[in-house]
Amino acid sequence: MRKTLFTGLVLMIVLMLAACSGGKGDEGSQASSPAASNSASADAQASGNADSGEPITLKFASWSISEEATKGALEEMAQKFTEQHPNVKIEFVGIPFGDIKQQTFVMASSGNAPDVIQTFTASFPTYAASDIVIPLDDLLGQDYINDLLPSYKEDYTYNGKLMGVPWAPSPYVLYWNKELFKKAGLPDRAPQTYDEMLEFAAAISKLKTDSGEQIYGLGEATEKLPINGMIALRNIYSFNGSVFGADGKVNVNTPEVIETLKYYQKIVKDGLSPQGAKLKDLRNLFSIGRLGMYSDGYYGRKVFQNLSGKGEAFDSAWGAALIPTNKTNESVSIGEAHGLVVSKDSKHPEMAVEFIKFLTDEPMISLYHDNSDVMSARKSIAVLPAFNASEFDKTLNDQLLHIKPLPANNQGLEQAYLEIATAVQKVTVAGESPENAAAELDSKLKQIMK
Amino acid sequence: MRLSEKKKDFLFLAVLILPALLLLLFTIGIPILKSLYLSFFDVSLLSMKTQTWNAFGNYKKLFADQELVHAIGVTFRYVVTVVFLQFALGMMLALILNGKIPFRRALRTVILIPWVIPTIIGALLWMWLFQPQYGVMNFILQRLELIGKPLQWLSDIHLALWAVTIAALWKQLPFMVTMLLAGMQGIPGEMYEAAMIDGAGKRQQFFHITLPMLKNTIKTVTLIACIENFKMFPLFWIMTSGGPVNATTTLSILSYKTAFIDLDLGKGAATGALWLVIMLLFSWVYNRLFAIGEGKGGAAH
Repeated sequence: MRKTLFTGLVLMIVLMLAACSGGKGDEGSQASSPAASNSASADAQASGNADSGEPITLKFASWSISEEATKGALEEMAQKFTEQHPNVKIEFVGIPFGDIKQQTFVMASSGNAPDVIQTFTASFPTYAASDIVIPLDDLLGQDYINDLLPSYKEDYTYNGKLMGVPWAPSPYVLYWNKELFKKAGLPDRAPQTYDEMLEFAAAISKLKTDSGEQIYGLGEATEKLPINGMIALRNIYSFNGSVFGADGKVNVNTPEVIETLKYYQKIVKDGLSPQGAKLKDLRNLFSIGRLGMYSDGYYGRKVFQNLSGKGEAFDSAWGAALIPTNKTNESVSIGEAHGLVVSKDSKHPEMAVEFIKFLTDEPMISLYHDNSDVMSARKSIAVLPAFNASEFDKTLNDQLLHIKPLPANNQGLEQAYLEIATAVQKVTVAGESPENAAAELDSKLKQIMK
Repeated sequence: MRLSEKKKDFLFLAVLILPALLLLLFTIGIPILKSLYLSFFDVSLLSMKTQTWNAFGNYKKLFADQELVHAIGVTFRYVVTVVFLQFALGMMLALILNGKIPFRRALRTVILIPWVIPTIIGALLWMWLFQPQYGVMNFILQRLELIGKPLQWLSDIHLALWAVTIAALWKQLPFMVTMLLAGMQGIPGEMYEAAMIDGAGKRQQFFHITLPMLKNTIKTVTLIACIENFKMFPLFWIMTSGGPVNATTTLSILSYKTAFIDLDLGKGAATGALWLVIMLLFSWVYNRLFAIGEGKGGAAH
């Protein structure tokens, strides 16, 4: 009996091992499917363009490919690139926005990072200061680099080298709900100054929806995320503040930063802004007519169309305007950009850069612009009529000329953004005094941004 | 050479246990050792190629910035609250479902629904329910006139941990109920009959039969619940990301944030290592507490 059991057990283990290796075999056959399509393109290349070299697969990690609004445009761009370069296949690696940084860093730690990685301004400093991406100056050429808008070039530079390309730039502009302005008896225009903005916001905050729900005048995102710390810089700049003192060293324990924190505290305390709001909450509230004004990037129009459920008909319900002026007496904003970096693990950096150039050249950025209002960070393209056709385009381009560069890239910058967001939470949610919050933030940033 | 029966038995057992041991070794053993090893190095995902030995540098940093102590406090507050409420409510529900009530079978099935929903989906669901401006929770409470102004469930320093606790309770209660119910069904009916003949009331039956007979089940399920909640990550990460400020930063959030947001793997590993020590200590104390009275025939049945 025991002998039979033992034999049975050995058999079972052998079968399990066989099943495991069978699994591997399956993986192999799955992995061979892109190769199969590769060989198809290689065939096409053999018949059409024999000189274009070995078959190449470029892996492109992106969150835009996983999002319904941008998926189609990206697939079309990849297909057009393959038409021009039949030996190259673009393989998308879809990773959600919130996970892309850590996932690509973990991939890189095992030498397996995708060739091209999509990133955004708040996360970019971490890539720039790491050893997983390569400088692009030589690969892109000086003509291309000189064509970039100066503040974006600076935002994507680290230690004097361009470490990424601003692909889809977006200044933060002020969106205002025309219907709510009318309902509150306000003029049919956006506020010109911060004081006027607060005055308008107070008038709108007195309104209620038909079912008696509260309407907010002005929204500021205060969720604890690096991007919200970066957005807070827009307000710090407007209050004529900075992260750095006159000596170039970190100093946020300044009257300007304290005043900015007081502004955050006031708008929440007075019920003008929803407390602890996420950016997506603001977008939702704006789209359902419960928020009068807030700042956002170019994505506004498409997002409102979707969230309001009214499609293009909703376009007439809102306007976009320059950020109101404050202590600097001129509109000041920050520019965010979805960027692209090339990983050190890439075996085809030249082709990866070729792909980036292709994506940021006029035809593809026009396609992206038509699809999602994306602007261009290249001076020669930004002035083209197609990018200045609508009032919305003009506002975005105008604001692009009124943006202040973000702090120079630094290993701790992303963490610093998170600390700024935390300071904003301390004054809005935890009731801490702006003076204390600024002092604490100052000592944190001095440690982080050495 | 002929093996003795004892050796054969040993070999047989070894072969039986080997696949599981190997699996555990590769999925748990080696990662734990590697993580302990990393906790003594200056290592960042920013530059994985350079790893320098810094002795207890990571641990010193952890204790210096107060975040660890705060996170330990939050973790214990959360675990104790959620396990206590889970046990109390679970016991009540199990007693009800063990009684003679209509649609008993259907109810036992229905109660399992939250358990089969993936935690991430549950977290997203609760995040929307708790949304202050257009979430259902505030809407209902305001309609019932229980609250005047909308509550900032996830962005109020004092409410956020409770909001996550409610979501965790909803998710984990079915497990507690099912296990306690299974334990109750294992108690022989004759014991209750005997107790009734002796004139014991419902309350006496509960305290002198049900509870003592369930001791081992209770010990196991509450320990599992403790461990489950000690390492709870998705609910916190999705609902609050450890905020507002640091109000819901538990050890799991702190260790993830340090390792994968700040990309400081060394410090992240050190947090993990301390977390492991705390867990081991907790389990030891827990087992000791439940062992009180054992060996004197107290728990014999």
